[in-house]
Amino acid sequence: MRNDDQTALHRATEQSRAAMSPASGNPSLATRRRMLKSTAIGFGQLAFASMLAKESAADNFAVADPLAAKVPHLPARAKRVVFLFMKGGPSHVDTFDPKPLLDRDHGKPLPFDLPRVLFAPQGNLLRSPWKFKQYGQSGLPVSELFPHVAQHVDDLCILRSVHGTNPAHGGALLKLHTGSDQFVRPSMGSWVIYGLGTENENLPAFVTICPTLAHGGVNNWGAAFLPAHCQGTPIGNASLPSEKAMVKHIRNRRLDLTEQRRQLDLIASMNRDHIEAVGSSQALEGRLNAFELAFRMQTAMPEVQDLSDETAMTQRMYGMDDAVTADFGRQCLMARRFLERGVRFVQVTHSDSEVQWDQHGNLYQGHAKNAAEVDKPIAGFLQDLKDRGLLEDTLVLWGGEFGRTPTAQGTNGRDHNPHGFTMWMAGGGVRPGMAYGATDDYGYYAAENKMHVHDLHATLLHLMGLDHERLTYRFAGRDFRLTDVAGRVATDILA
Amino acid sequence: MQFAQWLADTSHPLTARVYINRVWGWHFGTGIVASTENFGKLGDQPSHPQLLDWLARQFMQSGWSTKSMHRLMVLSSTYQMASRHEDPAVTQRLAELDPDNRLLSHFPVRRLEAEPIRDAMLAVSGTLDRTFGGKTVPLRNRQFVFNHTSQDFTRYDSRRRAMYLPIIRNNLYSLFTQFDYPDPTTPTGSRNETVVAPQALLMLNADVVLDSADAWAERLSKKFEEPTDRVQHAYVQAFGRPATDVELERALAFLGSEESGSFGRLALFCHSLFASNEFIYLR
Repeated sequence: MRNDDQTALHRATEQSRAAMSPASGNPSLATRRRMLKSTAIGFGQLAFASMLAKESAADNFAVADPLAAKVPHLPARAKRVVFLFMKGGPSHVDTFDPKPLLDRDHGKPLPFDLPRVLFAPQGNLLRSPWKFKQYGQSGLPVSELFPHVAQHVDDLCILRSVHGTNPAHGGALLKLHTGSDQFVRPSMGSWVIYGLGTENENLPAFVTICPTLAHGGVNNWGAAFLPAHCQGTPIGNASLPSEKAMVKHIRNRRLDLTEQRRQLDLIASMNRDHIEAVGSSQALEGRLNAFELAFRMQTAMPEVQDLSDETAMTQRMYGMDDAVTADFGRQCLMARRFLERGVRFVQVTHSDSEVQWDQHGNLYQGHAKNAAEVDKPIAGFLQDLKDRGLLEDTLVLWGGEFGRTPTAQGTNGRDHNPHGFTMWMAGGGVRPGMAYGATDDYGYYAAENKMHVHDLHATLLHLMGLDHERLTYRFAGRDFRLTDVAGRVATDILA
Repeated sequence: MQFAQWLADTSHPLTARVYINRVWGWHFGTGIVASTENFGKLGDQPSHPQLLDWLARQFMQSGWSTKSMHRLMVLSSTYQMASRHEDPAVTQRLAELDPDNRLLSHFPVRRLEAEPIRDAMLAVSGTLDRTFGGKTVPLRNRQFVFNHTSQDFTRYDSRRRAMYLPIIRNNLYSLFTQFDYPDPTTPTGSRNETVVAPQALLMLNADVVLDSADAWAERLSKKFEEPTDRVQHAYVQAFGRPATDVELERALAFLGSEESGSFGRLALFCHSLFASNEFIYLR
């Protein structure tokens, strides 16, 4: 954030507040929309304050930058978010939500009604093959699947009552990422960027590392109707090893940077002449900047992704010395490097080119393998964030698109369960060492302090200092929100 | 059926107004009613209500011919106006009186949309395939969409015109999405016109841009011996005008005599023309 023009920034903040207020017919809304449509948008080179310029006519077409860091609605408890997404739906009753009655009543039918809509026929109750143990001062139970994460249980805020609306991967992914399983809507990361901008000018504001291209694919990090600068930037995808993950078009197949610099100078001089001829505009000036930023990104991105300057100890902490954990460890370490450079929203996806956590059968082998791949890297990541003082203002979110049924599918599997499942948060202003909400005795339905995906979003925005009811964008004649017409901040989990 | 008949009924101007406003927007960047998809109470007021109604009438009288409306608009003196007044004082005054240029005192400089950007590169380089009709994607039906494997079978390397490229909703062509191609699941009356760094990355490094520049440079060098002729011809092809003396001198200095690897200086020069503002902005 720039300090050299506090007054302008203050004005800009007022402006952005006005623009975000849901009052319909607010003239600043329309103006802002038009601004965003026509304005030059780089990765943060220019003051948001000058967005006011166009209203007061000819302020030499000073170029505005909607990506410049903005002051939030409320005091922010977290400055950045990292979402560790476990694709496929990890089972809550086998990880963070122990159910003694499930053990006791193993093999018996579920003693209450199944949901009206089922993905597949359900068998009887199936106990967890893993034992739970209490850890830390808080004594929160964690299963044998996550022995390393369990060491950090005092940092976790375990949300045991999350529920969604869609029992299929596609709909559930979209619901979790965008708040809607029916329509194409902006990703939660895009909303955060829209509300807060970014703090690093040379990197994208929202990156998603090895995202899945299936089940909503690009729509899970897309900006939909929000301006293009809110779009997530994918690095690789789920079918590639994280070592090969790259941003598209980040490298020229022929030119080295010196040659490219010469070319850029030529383009810049042509563009300046063009501006001279047709008159200055935000878009044309912005395009000059966009090329410079692109040029800088070409060195900035590989520099973040190059982990060779991390000490052997750090690399070991993330499990990069072990073939099982190396891939996800590299993703987490990359995430930390993005976060510490001011990238606002980072998503890390754990998925192979199948639906990784989707154990309709072979629960034991599948979940054991999946957990082994992420347990150590996540623990290392949390420790590293803590050691560097980043955990305080970084919100860590862990979870899948749904949980799994306590009843059996086949003999040794569990089906999708959006009706009650566990996610956890850490850092960023959430109360550490607590479990929030509960599912029923068997873990089928969220029962206590229920937290719908909309509530999760409202809480996430709140922690970032954004009021989910005021963070609106007018499109197709009405104001849209990440939380649509729902969402309740879970105030009990705020630190 | 009754609704359809009512829609196309010439006794009211509603349908023609909405449609012709869009056509106007395609040529001038903004419709006479700026909110092209919203003519209701919440929509914007028309900048020229009488013009809109006149156009709507003309449109119906011409037998709803889009082509004749295109002709009418591009032949108008408004469309042929320069994008800037030669007197800076006037320019300054206009910017004060009508900052958004809603009254069209000069032609609004506007960026090409995603499809023409691509097609223009291919056309200039001589690689655009102008075949009519037919299928463009060599994919089996279920390969169009992703299954759970994240395997990407989609290819956008066809050289057919952009209108023949497939619209695969969960894997749009990145060149298009970078240049504000709208979400195909929702009708969109007017597109965004953003300027972001990833667009520049794409113009600097994407295969389709580099390949087109190569093809163009090859054609130019086959056709013309003299560097001056190559540059002049390239300018005419790309910008519809010859290079000025300054531009020519700069281009010749850039071309020099050396070769940079396999990628010749001429190709690099052609590539730079593609990346320039003048190539993708109409004035």
